[in-house]
Amino acid sequence: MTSASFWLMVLGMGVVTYLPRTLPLLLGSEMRLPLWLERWLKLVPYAALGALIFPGILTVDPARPWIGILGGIAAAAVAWRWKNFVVALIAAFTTVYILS
Amino acid sequence: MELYTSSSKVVGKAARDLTRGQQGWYFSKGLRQGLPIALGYFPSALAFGVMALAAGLTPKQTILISVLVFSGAGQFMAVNLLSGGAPPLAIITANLVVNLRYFVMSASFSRRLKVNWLQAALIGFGVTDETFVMNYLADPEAAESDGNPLDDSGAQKEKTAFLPVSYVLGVNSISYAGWVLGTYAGTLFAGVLPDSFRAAMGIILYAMFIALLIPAAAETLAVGGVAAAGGALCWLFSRYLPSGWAVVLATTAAAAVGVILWGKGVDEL
Repeated sequence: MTSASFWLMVLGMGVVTYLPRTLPLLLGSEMRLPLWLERWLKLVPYAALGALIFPGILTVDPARPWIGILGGIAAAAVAWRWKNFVVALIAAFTTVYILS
Repeated sequence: MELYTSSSKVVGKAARDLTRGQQGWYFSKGLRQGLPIALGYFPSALAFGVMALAAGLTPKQTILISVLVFSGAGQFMAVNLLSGGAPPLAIITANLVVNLRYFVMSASFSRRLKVNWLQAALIGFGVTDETFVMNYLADPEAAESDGNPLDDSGAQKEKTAFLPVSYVLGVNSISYAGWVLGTYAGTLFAGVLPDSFRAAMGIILYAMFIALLIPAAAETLAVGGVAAAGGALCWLFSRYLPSGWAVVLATTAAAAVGVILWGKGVDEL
């Protein structure tokens, strides 16, 4: 990656991360959106999570896609049972580490 | 303490009724209550540092990303797409889509804040999934001995009181520190970690996404449905498109499907 395209990427990432966080605070609580847009915005994070998890998780070990799946199941089980973020990461990491 | 000093100089009408001493007290309370977030960020950021170096970035570039962007999911995704050879524009667009959730969080966060533009600009930078939840649900007035600021009674309570700006900045800055220091540690240790350890780090990103998704999916049907649709569509699109664009398209479409299918069911989120 050339230095110019790296800077373009970081700058762009910075802007598209900062603006969604800050604009609503600047506009204040008066901001009202159409109902359908509000619903769509609420669902976007979960749609994105689904798209990010699958099929990407199969590439954790590209030769053995089931390793990623098992790591994911470990994370899901811990997150569901104990709702603990850090422990879920550790469980997934340990599972994959042992299997590979 | 830098943030505190600068914020106390510039605060406008919102913090006028707090003395400098009270602001300091709220700031350090924010630091303490944000500490668990920082401790959770450290290992994730360490993994980010290791993965960024593996994707071909220099240590300087890697730390710079964490300093300027401060977004776990977005940064991991960028590194992931980078190692797949995605162009900057696809990476930026994918980031925008993932970060739209911040727009929703900040919109609801703004109901607990009364800030001038400079305070908004400072606080906005530190809005993440975790700091948002902590700030939004926490009760800064609660006694230290109450322990977990996110206990059920606190979460159920109607949150109407405005949060002290210095408290929010305390929570945000310690979390930011954990993220940046973890990244730095990752760039230091990347070389000495055994290969097997580094390979297993690939799962951390996905485990993070799953841990964010599962609790919400267990509670609301639309969440699980939309996530499943997102995964299925992304798998379909990625057969014809580069992965960055497949993620963007699948997200946009799956959320729209969710609005059509579940409509009102979304409002309880």
